[in-house]
Amino acid sequence: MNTAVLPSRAEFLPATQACPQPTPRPQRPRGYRRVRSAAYFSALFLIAFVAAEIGARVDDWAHDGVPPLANPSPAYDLQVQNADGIVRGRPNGRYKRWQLNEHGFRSPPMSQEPAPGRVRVAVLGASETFGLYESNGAEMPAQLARELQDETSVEVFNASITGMTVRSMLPYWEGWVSDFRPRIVVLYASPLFYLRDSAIKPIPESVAAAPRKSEGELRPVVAEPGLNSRFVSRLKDSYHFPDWIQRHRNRWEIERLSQDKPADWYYRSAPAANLARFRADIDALTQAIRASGAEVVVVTHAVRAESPPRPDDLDDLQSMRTHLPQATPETLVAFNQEASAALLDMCRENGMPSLDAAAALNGKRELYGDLVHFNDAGASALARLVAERVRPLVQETRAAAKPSR
Amino acid sequence: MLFNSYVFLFAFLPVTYAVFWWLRHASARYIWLALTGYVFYGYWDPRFCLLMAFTTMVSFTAGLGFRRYSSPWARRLCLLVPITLDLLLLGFFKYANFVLTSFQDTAGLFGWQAEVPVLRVILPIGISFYTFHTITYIVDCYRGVIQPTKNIFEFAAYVSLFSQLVAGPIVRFRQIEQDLESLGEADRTRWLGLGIAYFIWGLCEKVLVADNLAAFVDPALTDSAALSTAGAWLAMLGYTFQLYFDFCGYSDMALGLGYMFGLRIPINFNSPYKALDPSDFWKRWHISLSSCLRDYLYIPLGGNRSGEWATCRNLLLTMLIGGLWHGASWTFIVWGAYHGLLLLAHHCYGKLWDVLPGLVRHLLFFVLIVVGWVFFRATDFSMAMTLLSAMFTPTPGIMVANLQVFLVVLVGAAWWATSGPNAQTALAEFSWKPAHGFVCASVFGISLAIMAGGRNSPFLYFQF
Repeated sequence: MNTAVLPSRAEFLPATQACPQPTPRPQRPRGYRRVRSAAYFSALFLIAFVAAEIGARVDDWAHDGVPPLANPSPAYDLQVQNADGIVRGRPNGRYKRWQLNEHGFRSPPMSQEPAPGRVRVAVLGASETFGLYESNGAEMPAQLARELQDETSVEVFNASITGMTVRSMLPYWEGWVSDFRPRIVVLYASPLFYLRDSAIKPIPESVAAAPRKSEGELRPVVAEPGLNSRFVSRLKDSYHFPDWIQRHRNRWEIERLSQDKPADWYYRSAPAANLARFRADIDALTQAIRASGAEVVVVTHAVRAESPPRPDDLDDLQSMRTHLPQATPETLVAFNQEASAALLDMCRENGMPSLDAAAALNGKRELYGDLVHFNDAGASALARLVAERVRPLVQETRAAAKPSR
Repeated sequence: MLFNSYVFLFAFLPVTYAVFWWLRHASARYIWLALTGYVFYGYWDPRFCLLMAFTTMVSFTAGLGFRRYSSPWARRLCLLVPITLDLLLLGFFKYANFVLTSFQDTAGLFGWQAEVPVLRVILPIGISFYTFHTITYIVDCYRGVIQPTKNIFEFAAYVSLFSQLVAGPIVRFRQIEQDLESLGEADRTRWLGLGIAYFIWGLCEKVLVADNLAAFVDPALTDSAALSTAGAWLAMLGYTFQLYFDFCGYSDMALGLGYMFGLRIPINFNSPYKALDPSDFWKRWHISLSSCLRDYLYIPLGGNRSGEWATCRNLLLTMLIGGLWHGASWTFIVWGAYHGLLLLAHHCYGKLWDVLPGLVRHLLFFVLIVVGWVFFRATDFSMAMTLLSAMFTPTPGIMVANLQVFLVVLVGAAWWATSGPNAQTALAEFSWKPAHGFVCASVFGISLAIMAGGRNSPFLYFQF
C-alpha cells in the first residue's frame, strides 16, 4: 500500500486549528454575570435589527429605486379611488418592481387620446394580466404589445388591477378606462371570485345607480402607511414553507375557515346561481364596452389544474381553497370549466369574438407560477394566442375606421 | 433546507446545537447528528432519505467486511460491491437520462430515429457528494489507511453530517475521524467563536456578494442572445465571482458549523482567483474534490509516473470525469476537457508560462478561467457559442441592467476575490472578543434583510 502519496491530515486543515484557549477570568457574582449577558444579547439583537432595517432600505434603493425613507405599501402605492369609490391605478405609482404610468396603468407612458390612425387595445383583468410572477416586461399585455408590433399603429395598454372582480370592472370601465378610447378590449376575467356566497348578492341600488364620471380628488384606497419596518415586511412576504409542510398548513387553514359550517355550506358541484351571476355580470360589462364602440374579445380563464384534477393539481387547488373554502377542489376546476363554456356560449349568442385560452392552456403546469397566475412562459403563450385572435380585428377596425365612441 | 433560510437559522440550527451539547455521551451525539442529518436532508423530499440510508448501510457493511476478512478476494469483494452499487445509483439518478438522450441524438446523426423513453427521475440533492463520501471511506478501508468503524451511528453521523451533506466539502472519514471519536469529550466553547465567525463570513459571501451578483447576472444570461460584447463580458465576470462566492460561502458556513459541533472540516477554497496557472488553480478551487480526484483517480491511473503520454492521458481523463461529476451535460464535459487541456498545456509549456511577469500571468489566466465558466454556465452549446461569439466579436446589444449598481458590486467582489483575504487567512489568529459579536450581529442582520428580499438563490453547487 503506497500511502506516501496521500496528503497528510494537516494539508486539509485551516491554519486556525490551533485556536488559543480563552484565558480564564476571575469569577464575578452570578447575578452580575446574568445581567451582563442579558444586556450583551439585547445589544446584539438591537444591532442586528437596526442593521437589517438599514440593509433592507439600501437594498430596495439599489435594486428598485425605492427612496430609503419611504414606507411602501402595495395598496397605497399602486391604487387610488375617485369620489365615487371607483378604484384605479395610482398615477405614476410604484411599488418595488411594479411601476405604473401617468394614468395608473402598468404600461409605458401614453396620451389620453390615441394618436390619429392608431388602434388602441386595452387588456382588462385582474392580477393574472396585471402580472405577478412575470419579470418586468414579460406580463401578458407587454408581450402582446410586442407580438402586435408588426401591426403598425397598434398600441396595447394594461388596464388590469389586482384583485378586480367583474363587478368592479364595470364602474372602472365606465368611469376611467373608456376615456382612453380603446377600440379593442381584451377581457380576461376570473370566475373563481364567484365561488363565495357574497358574490351572488345583488348589487345595491345606490351603488348600481351611482354616477361614473364624477370629478374630484383621488383618494388612497387605504390609509397612508406610517413608519413601518421594511425588514419585517420583507420577512412576511418572503417566507415560504416547503411543499409538504405547506400542504398541512393549507389543510389546517381550510379546517379553521370551515369549522362549524353545515354540510350544505360547501359547493360540491359548480353552483348554478353563482355561474349565472358571473355570466350576467360579464354580459353587463361587455354590453357597456360595446356601447362605447369598442370590440370585446372575451378570453376564458386558464388554470394550472385539469378537470377532473390530477394528483399533482391538488396542492394548487388546496392553496386556492384557503381563499375560497366553500369550493371543493373538484368544484374549483369544474366551475372554471363551466364558466368558460358559459362565456363561449354568450359570445356565440351575442356575436362577440372569443378566445378559449382555457382549452389551450389548462393543465400545462410549466406555464404557471400558481393555480391561476402565469410565469414568463405562460404569459408569452397567452399573448401569442391573444395576438392571433386580435390581429384580424385590428385590421377590420382599421379598415372600418369607425370612431371609437 | 438551505443554510441561508429562516428555518435553518432559527429552528433547525438552534435546536440541533442545544440538544447536541446537552447530550453527553459520544454515541448519543452520533445518533443525534445522524438524525438531524436525515431531517435536514429529508426536508427537501423525505424519500431521498431512503437512498442515503441504503448507501450508508452498504458502505458500513463493507467496512465491517474489511474488519472481518483478510483474504484478498474477500477484501476486493468488499471494495467492488459497494462502489459498484454507489456508482449504479449515482448513474441511474444522475446520468440515465443523459445517456439515453445522448444515444438518441447520436443515433439521429446516423439517420436512425431511435425512440428512447425519458425516465421520470428526480435527482436527489447532493447525491454526488455523499456518494463520494462513502466511496472514499471504502477505498481508504481497503487501502488500510483507516480502521473501519464498528459504530453504525458514528458512520451514519459522518455520512449524513448536515454541514457537508449536500454541497460539500467532500470530507474523508480519516479527516474527521479523530474529532468524531473524541466527540463525547468535545468542549462546547473551544471552537464556538471561530465557528460563528466562519459561518458569518460565509453568509456574507453568499448573501451579500453572490446573491447580489445573481440579481444582475441571472436575468442578463437568461437573455444571453441579446447581450452586447461588453454586456457578455460583464455578465460572465459577474457569474465568475457569483460562482466563487456562492460555493466558497457555502463551504465557509460548513466549516463554521463543523467548528460549532466540535468537528474540524477541511477547507475547500484558498482564493482560487489569485492563481497564476491551471495547476495552482486546482490546488485552490474546490480543494476537496480536486484532491479526491487526484488520490482516487489520477494516482491509481498511474499519475505522472508512467511517462509523458500516460501523464497527459491521466490528466485529461481525470478532468473529463471531474467535469462529468458536476452534471449530466456535454457542456460540463467540455468544461472538464477545457481545464484538462489547460493543465496539459501548463504541464508541457509551464516553463515558458512562468517566464511571464506575475501580473500578466494572473490576468491572462483569469481570462482563461472566465472563458471556461461559459461552458459551465451555459445550458447548452448554442448558449455557450452565442456567449463566446458576443465576447470575442464586436456585437451590438444590451448591457446588464442597473449597470451602475452592478459595477459597484462587481468591483467589490473582484477586489475581494483577487486581492482580499479569504476566511482562513482573515481568521488565522482569531480569538473571540465581545466586540466581534457586534460585527457578526450587524452582518447577520444585513444578510437577513437581503435574504428576506426574495433574491436569495439556492446554492449553485446543490445541483451537483
